Amino acid sequence: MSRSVKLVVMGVAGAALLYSCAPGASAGLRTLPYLWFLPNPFYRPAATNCPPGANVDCEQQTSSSTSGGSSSASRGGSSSSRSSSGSSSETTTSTPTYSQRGGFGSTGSHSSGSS
Amino acid sequence: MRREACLPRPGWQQKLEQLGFDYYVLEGKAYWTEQACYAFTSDEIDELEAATQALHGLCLKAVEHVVGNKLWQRMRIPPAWGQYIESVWRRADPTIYGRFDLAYDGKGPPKLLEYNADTPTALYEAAVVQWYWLKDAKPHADQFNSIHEKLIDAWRGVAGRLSSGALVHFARFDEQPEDLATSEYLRDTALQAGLTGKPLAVPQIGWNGRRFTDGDEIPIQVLSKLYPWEWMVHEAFGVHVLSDTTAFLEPAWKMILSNKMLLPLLWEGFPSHANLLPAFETEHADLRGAYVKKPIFGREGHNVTLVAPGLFDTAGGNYGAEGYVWQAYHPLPVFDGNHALVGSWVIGDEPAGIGMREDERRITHNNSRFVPHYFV
Repeated sequence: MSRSVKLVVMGVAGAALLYSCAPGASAGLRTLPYLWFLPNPFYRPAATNCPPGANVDCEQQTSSSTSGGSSSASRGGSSSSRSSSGSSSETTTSTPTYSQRGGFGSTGSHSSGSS
Repeated sequence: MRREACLPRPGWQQKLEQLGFDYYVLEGKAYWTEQACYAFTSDEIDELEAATQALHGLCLKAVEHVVGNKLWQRMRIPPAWGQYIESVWRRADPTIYGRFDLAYDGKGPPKLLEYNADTPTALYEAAVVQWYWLKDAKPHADQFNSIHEKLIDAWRGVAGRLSSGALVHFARFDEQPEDLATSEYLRDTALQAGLTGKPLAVPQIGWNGRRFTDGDEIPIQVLSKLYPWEWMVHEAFGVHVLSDTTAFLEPAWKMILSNKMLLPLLWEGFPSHANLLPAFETEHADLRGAYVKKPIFGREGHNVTLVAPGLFDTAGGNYGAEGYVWQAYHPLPVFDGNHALVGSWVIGDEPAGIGMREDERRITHNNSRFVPHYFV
């Protein structure tokens, strides 16, 4: 990429984005209940017939059928199964209202974690 | 490779601030200086680029070695995390960035001092701030710097594995100016790649019994975190990561590379490699009494001790509980009384540019000056 093009790419607009809060970034996402039931998006599950917003049973069935680590691994070695730790709550069908917070950050509250 | 005295640009402080780079003074000392710059030849830049590519390749082999042989105890990684790390490694969860710290004087081959693979900062300075300096101060020269373009490419790769318009959360501590700038710059490049980005303070990450959530109770599908894995592992929500309902950037397999135990591991696997220094788990005879002792999970020079004939330097800190590694002492080149360190960026899987740091001390730390560079 030429230098002039590069400057256009990351120019004033890019710099101005820094420290902007983009408050509307997630507007409307509350209305997408299917988000609750999606697995880690880096899974490469088999194609699902469940459309966005499909019912819970469909999504969970798809999720559980693809959670065995048998996705098309692009690195060698035996494919491991998905950890079961913490997964018991995955079977809960009710959508919680409030989250617990503060479970991350206790170490970093007194020093930077950057390197 | 040399250090040149430079005339600062007229109004340089305002120029930096216009870029959002307002932390050019840290704790009362200059963090950015343009009273000097480092000059390289194109051959030297080629050598740095090749070394970075080679080291990245060695590191990926090291990850495979650790995963394949389940060396969790040696890496001080809780065994319960082994299966999770293996799964994210096998499915090739993507990486965005990492920074090798190299000792290089333009005469011998670059030597790996450490790999900041999980939460590297000084990214915005390297990608953007020094680029604008180049345009103003050395308009006819070039710079080893395609960090910005490669970041956008890396995010496009991530976007390709997500649904259209996917939301990525960016977690950091806003009180740390470098962390904030790095995280916001990452978000900026993600937006330019077509993703949606939402900032988030680390303590605001929530757990609702099923998923990680943000402060608005939106599920976090992808979390770009400027918070170390080795801390997350031991904190209250760490266990929930193993449910694998959220994708993390950097991915958990980076825990192997941001770990100083990587250094002896690499030396065992690739002894006498031109870009490696001898490194061991104990004070080894091959070090011949000249070594740098580093905490396995150390950051920013804390708890590093340097010992060599006639030399001793040490830095305080709270690290070292998990143990140390010993690496052969390889002096940084000294220019005008400044010890110069090359930070060489890997973006995605490619070398992408460098940022120069310098300090009067031999141990580089988080406030060591950032100095722009160019090559001809």
